[in-house]
Amino acid sequence: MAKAFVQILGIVLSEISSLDEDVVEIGIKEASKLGATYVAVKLSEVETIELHVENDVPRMSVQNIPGAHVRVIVNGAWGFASSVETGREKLRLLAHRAVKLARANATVREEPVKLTPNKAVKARYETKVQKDPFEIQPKDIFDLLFSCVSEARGQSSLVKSGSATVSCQREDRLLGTSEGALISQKLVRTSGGFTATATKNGMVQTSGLNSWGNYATRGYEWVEEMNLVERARTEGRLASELVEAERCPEEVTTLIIEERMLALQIHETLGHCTELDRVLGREVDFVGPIGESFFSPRALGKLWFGSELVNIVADATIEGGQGTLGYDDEAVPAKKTHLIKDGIFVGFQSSRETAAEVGLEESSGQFLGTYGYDHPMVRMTNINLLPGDYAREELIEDTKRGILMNGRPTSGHEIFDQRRTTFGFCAGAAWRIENGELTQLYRDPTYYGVTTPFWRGCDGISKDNWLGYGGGCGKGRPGQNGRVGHFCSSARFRNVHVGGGGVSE
Amino acid sequence: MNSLHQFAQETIQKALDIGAIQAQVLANQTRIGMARFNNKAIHQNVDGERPTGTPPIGIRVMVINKAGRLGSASSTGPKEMAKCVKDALRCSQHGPELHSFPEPKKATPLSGLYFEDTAELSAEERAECINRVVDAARGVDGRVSFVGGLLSNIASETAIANSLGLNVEHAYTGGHLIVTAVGKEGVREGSGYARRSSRNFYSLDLEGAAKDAACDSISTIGYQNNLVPAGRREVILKPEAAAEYLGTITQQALSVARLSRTADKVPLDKQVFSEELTVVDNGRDTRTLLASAVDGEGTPKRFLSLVNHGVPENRCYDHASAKRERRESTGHAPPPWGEFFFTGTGSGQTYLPTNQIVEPGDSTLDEMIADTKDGVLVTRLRCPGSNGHTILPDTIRADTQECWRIRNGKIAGPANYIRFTDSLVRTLKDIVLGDKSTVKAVGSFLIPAIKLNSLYISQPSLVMRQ
Repeated sequence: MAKAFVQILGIVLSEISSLDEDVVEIGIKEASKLGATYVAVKLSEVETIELHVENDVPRMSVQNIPGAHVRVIVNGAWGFASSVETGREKLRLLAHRAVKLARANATVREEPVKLTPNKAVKARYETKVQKDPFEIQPKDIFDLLFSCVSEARGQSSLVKSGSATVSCQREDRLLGTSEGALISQKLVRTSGGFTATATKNGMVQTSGLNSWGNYATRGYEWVEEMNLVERARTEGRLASELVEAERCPEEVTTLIIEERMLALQIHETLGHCTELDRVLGREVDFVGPIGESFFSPRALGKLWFGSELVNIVADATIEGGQGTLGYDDEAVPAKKTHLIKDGIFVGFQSSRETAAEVGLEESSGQFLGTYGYDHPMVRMTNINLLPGDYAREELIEDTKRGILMNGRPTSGHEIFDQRRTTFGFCAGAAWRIENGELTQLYRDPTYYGVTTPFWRGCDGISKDNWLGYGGGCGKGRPGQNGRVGHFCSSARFRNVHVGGGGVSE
Repeated sequence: MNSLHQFAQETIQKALDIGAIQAQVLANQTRIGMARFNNKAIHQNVDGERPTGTPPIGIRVMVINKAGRLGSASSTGPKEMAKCVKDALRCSQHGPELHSFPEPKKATPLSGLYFEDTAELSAEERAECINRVVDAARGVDGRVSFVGGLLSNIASETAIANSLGLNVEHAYTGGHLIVTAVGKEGVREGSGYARRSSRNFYSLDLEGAAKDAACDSISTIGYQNNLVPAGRREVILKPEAAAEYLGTITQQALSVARLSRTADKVPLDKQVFSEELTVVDNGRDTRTLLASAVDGEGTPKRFLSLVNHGVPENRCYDHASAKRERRESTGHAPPPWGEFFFTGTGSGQTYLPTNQIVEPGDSTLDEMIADTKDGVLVTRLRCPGSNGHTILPDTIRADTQECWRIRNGKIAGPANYIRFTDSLVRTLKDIVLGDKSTVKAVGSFLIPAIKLNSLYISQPSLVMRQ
């Protein structure tokens, strides 16, 4: 297919449907001819444009990442070869390399690879976009970014610096398998955010909406809906108040965690624990020896994870989520899988191989590589805590004494053991709750817990502000930054160890 | 390398032809072979031409346009060169002011960084090596129930050139092994870990690493039952843990190139740490894993004293951060080749500065243990980092993995993982450094074991079944 060129964001970009089905076919045929019993060939192109303002300095950058891989099973073992080139000859070469690797692996492997069945389809999937972000003029975006910075800095003389970013990404994926699947996907992602940094007497506090955690598979309408300028004012004020606030005190209390912080809690203490490759010991070089995880296959349907209010799903189908897509890298369609239902652990995130290994009937459709040259792995898509019955205000009004936390600090710290049985997090800001009202603001709040007692202590989930976090997730070797979303609202937890950590300033 | 140089020159010419007044190009080609294994199954075996780094860069074009503004674009593929050049020029319409790239400085090449046979290590050899590793670990003890990890090799070449005459290169190879093991006795478990890194794959002691991990997995069986109570204790950090710990402060507080927040800086020319602590950064020292003649902007690497007997003396700058403070670059622009040896579990050990050498002390590890009344011996840290927005006077918090209790000068069995929270500066005021026999090349460090005479253990990590 010939490459067309279009003017987008003032930049000449190759037309997105430039990936060639014939090239996929060549890879499949070549590997099959060499003895592969299963072949998957993926081509992709990812284009990213980022516009950024730091105080009064603008910056714009473009990144283009093509990639391809051939993944095969030969003699019951895997082989994988990849490149940043996507041409015909390169795909032939990759097929040969992948088969060679698989033959080498077969000399080591004690059990042959088994895959759960999957219906092969020919399909096309596209992100629903109202306003193509690549058609917005850079000047208009820079005007918005300068306004954010100016408004945030204008809130207080303590706000010394501000930055704002809009990022647009589009990805074209083409996947074919020897089973007959041919999947074309066009994914668009957009993000916007800003930070305001205040300083006073050596204290530094940053508040804002980090663009790296605010991606959605949506068009520029997502940036417009954020109302960035108004939020920049709010966060600028908050940063200036935080540098004068007291540190969050240490106590065991009732804790309400709002959506931006709660997303991280879900990610680290439930998301990673239920990735089946991790449970089966395939990330040990990265995360350390796990031994028998408390999310072992034997615990499926039995483990009491949280209170009966807690329902968590892996949902790659939800509109707008950062992890939303049509099909994974094994041509398995996007699914919605319950991980926790009424507080009980009921599902894993899986690939076709890992699902087969523990006796599941099908993959959850979450086997994904970030770029075309990346080896796929089990990935969170959108891991969402389903909404409850409370109005957000009712959660607060119903709390006699406690702490409310929200926000992700730009340099905050999180800690957890490799089984995720325990955790500690740092939030952006906290407020005291007294007799159902928010009172004093605290800086540098932290909280700690043991995973299952913490989630079992959840006694209220809000139905309001069910928002999506959309960011990255580091996993795998060579390292990949996956695209992960979390939808959640506010939730209340009883008897949580808040603040402190051992040493006072 | 010739083809990379030629490619870089062609790219520069292309940029000048279409309107740039200056251009700078970085071109990188990297090939990684990597097998991740789990007992005797290789579940991921990669052979790929792929860039390293985040974001991944195969080619980066920077231009200065006629209005004196900077623009940049990058791609992973050399075939995108023409588009990259056009994109960079268009981005310069919205870029910051920059009137010239720095004048090039001569960099004397380093030898001994590239090993052909490491670059050519085959998939069959990787598979055979994994067989040896798993067999060696299992051979230690019948209670070794799980052996997993990663074995990889890399060959990477980079050319950096600009229209002012800069024309430098860096090529290196690397081999890397991580072994983790689980020991099991009934329902009781233990865990072990070992890692080896070298630019020459064939110098890696594969069986030695496997045995170390296996032995630790046996000697830690039952660790879950041995909680270390909260309180101040003596803690001996083996080199990997020491690198994570020290890296949390040197790589954040002394690296302006990485973090420009003034609050993260430690004061220079004042006694901040113990007089025992001396750290230099020297990219030309080939004992360090990431030795190179130049940094990611082509600036020559050189000796830089970071901490001299407890007194911080210098910070690290790239061109942009140096310009902000009206200084010269110290040769610390982030390199696109820095990622390979950083495959640990911590976040503190990032990669600037990249070649830190900690002067060893006089004590062997056995002597450090013998001098410890009530303490813990730690192999490595997990999630080290600071809480809040400043390093000073704030805290470091981390978990440990694989650790052993020390009582009255002797190892007294395995210990449950501990979580500690303390002041980085305070704890580094009272230390004992291990001697040369304890020194190891780990990530961006050449570092001995370090004993912290007083570290606040805030809570046991409570790793257990739930």
